[in-house]
Amino acid sequence: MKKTVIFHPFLLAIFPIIFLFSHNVNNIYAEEVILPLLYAISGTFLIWIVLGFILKSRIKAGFVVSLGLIVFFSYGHIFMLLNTYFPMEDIKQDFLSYHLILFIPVLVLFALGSYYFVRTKRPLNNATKIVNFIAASLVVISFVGIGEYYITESYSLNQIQNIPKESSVQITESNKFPDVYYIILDAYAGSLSLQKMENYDNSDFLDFLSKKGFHIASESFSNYQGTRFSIPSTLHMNYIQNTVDIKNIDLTDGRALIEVSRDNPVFKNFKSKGYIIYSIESGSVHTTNMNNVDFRLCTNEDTASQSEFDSLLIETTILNPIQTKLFSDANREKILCGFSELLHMKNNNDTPKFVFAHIMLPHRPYVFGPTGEPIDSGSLALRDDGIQKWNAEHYIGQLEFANLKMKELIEKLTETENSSIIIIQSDHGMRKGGYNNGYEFVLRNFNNFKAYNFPDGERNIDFETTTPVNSFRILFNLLGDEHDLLEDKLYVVSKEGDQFKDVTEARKKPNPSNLLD
Amino acid sequence: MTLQKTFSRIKIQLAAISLLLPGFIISDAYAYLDPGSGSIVIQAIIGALVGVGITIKVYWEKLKMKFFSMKK
Repeated sequence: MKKTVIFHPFLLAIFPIIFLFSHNVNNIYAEEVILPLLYAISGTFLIWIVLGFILKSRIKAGFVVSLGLIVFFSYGHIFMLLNTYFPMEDIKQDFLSYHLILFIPVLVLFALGSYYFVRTKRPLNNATKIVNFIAASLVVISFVGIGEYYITESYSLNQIQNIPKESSVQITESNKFPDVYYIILDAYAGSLSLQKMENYDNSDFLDFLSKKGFHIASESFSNYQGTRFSIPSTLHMNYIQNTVDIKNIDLTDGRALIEVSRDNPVFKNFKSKGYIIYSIESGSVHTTNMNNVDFRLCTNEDTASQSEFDSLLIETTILNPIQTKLFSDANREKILCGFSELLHMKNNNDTPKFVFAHIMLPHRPYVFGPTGEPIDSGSLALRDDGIQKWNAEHYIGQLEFANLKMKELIEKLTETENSSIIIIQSDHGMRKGGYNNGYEFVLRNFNNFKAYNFPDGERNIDFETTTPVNSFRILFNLLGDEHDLLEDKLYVVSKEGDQFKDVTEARKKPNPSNLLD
Repeated sequence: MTLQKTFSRIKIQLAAISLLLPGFIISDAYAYLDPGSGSIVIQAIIGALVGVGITIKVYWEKLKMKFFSMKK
């Protein structure tokens, strides 16, 4: 008799991970998937062996394990679909009841299924063969998706690899340059949109900054409505679709944009001026593992934080309801780490430093209340289409906490570093949902926060009135370079990332004739 | 140029396959990482169809015999 090979538990263990990778292959690197795969395979093997020993049948054990894996890895998906079609009205009230509605039937089905496999007298050899095929087909489908990406996008990624790397950086004498702090508060809205959209008066924080010698751009706008275009364009000092070096790169490919962010002329220029570069990481792929950096701080490894992929994977599993309980502390630690590193930045008398800090505040996930108290919003997702919809109370709460921490930081920096350049600039506005068009859309997506403190409290009207694409042009001009300023433009990027619609005028004229089509 | 043409041709072929298998479609390029809950359901349906096909194949002889004995 032919021996039945049991490999479906292992395929069903790796399928959800391979699927998530395939579905997001243009935004994540294969390395991030290796550890989850190893955990899944080794955990499955261990449980299967133990259960096989208990049940005295590896075939039966295989079915129970596979059923468990299906339940484990599909629970979060089902929960998210449930919430998509029957959205929770109030997360605080409905979160538990939604999970109970789902958890009890899932548990009963698993118990009944397991009971059947344990008790059945039927030979399960053919059933094993069938489930092996089903599991293999699922994995193969996902692998085809991954293969498609690697074949079609390799040309684009090769183009990025051809961009000159750090070896081309020529270091010059440096001791006359001031320290530069560039702090990105992710999704920190400007006063215009806070006032108009949320009726929130942020003048307490703005007054504080003014007293400390900062100038605040009263009507600041980002060039794009999202981090993935905004940060690379700021760091390339150019509109991303116009940047000469990268014009052949497929901008629909998230990984290409990450590479563009990492290898940017701003860091190279600071390096060439002899700066020591510190990068305080937020965990966002757009500012992680940047090139030309001397010191990476608050990395995922330093703070035991989950990567975006790990977090998403856990969200899709049965751990979904307790994810925030398990991992919110690590998220908080990461944000606090950023402020702590900024506070304790050492003064190098001989060598200037460029501190690039990306802090995930007040951006989702909502983990802090206004005074820094921990809150649980039911999700650690960064995206706005999950169960954690845009929430004004939580957003303002995190914004106020950002203000609190920034006050503490500015007190310290202005006390000891009065000759430094400090720029606080968010990458986009509050980003309150959707793609509906018009002035309000531009306001809530593009109205960002910008405040700066140049040496001797100098006011720079150009810096104040231009968009982030010019920020480092102006800053490098202060350091002796000669960069022409670009015309300020605002672009809405299509969902596919391949079309750029100029909406510059929409920021000025809030009337119906100005609606975007 | 030839390399680009080859890539374009492969891309068109794969796009055609993608239309047949929606699970292949890469998620919204603008958004953050996406759980793809809708796509995984579609893949599960494909898996189930494969299961039906394999089940018919495995039990074909039995089904055939049952079918013919019913006819008689």
